[in-house]
Amino acid sequence: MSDPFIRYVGVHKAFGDKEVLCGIDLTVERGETVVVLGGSGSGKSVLLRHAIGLHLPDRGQVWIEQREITHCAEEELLEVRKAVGMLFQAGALFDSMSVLENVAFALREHTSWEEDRIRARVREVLQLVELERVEELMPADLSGGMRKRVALARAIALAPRGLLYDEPTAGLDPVTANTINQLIRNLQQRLGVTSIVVTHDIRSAFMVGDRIAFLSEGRIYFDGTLDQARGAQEPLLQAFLRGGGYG
Amino acid sequence: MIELLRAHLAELGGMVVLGWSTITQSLRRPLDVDLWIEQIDLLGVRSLTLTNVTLLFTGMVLSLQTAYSISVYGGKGFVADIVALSVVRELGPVLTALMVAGRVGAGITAELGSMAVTEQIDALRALAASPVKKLVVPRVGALVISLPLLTILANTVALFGGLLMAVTEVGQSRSYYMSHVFSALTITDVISGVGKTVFFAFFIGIIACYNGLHASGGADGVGRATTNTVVVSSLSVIVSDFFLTKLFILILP
Repeated sequence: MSDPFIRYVGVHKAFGDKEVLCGIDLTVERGETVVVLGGSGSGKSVLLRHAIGLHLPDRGQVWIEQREITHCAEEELLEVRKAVGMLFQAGALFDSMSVLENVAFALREHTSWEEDRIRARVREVLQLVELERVEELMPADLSGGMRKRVALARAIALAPRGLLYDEPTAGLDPVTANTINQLIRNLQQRLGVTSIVVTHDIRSAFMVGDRIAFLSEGRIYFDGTLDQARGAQEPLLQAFLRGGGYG
Repeated sequence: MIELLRAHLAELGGMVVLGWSTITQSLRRPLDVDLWIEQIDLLGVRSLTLTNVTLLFTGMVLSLQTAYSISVYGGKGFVADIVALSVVRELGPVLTALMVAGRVGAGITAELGSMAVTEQIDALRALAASPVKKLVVPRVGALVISLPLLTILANTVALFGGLLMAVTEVGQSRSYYMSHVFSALTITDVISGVGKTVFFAFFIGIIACYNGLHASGGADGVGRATTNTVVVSSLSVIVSDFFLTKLFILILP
């Protein structure tokens, strides 16, 4: 039986005269990982940000776990945001805070845990992203790959039921990108979270996804499994896959 | 033209909404006392040199100019009265606020603007925290506390500057100068002067935070937002000073 975690229904979004999303319908079932694949400027990140109300649609609806969040005020979205973590493209770590303070941020905001318990949880999630003894470092001291991992640790600190990844491998060398892809896959298996990954990296898409949705100019042109994607006749997707050596 | 007007009105409306949510969120617990103290140090204590040096020299030049101008009419004896009233009612509050608008307003916009263009503000929202509560309330609160205190201190330093010139250049005694200062000033002068700075601080803080939170377009966008803050907050101090002065004259005749 269908158990949708995130559901977009006819979502439209425009910034000024530019229409970025033109009637998106997409359902992400609980526990699955959907990759939204598309080129630069296709509206992927905007679509992702609608999932936790960082953008609100002009028309259409967004549902999270049977709750419509389309017209929610900022305060009503707080519970949704505690349940769904997000990894931003460049990490978006707080510059003025250490790694410990970054990862502990949500725990200090939303739990009444003692400091010892918070530090233990920070160590635990840092180990999950394969980092150790970095708590006292500042974001400026970290490499690109480490920043992504710390940001991922921050996103999973509150044990969310869903995770959103905005271009998780962008700007990383192929080896580090591969490590991040494996990490995403491992986290999905260990934590059992529902995930949406937006990327233009085809290799990453096929490594981490259960299903692929292909987005171009604000429309979804394809939605299916990885095998269906490889054999799809959709010309835009074919061109995209051929460009990445998967066609 | 109409587009430009609409954009300015939208900006003004956004600032009013931010101002209102800052007031309502500042009343909610928990109060981040550590953040407030950190901001009072950054925005208030570290502005002391700037505001005091500005007002020291303003007091000195005001004393000199007044003595020079009114000596023709035989009014040299009133230098202290004129310096005291000008500084405490008008120059102290306005100049202190302008200095703070330049230093602190620009700093706040640059900081929040950098956070906005690197998605740190969105990250804060994604972690179910309120940027208004975590970033705007401590900064505006620190300004509202600091600016009146900076003004009181700057007024005192300006009166001291006036005293230096009155003694060395005009030939008055210290006791003569001080007795004229105290006889010229009333508590109403002090309240109306310092009272205005609470409003100035709120305007500067909201304008700076609004421009920072809405900065976009990378380093260029942050630069534009920072310039905009200095221009708009300085103008808001000058323009609101007129209306606040009128208001204080009405309620404290």
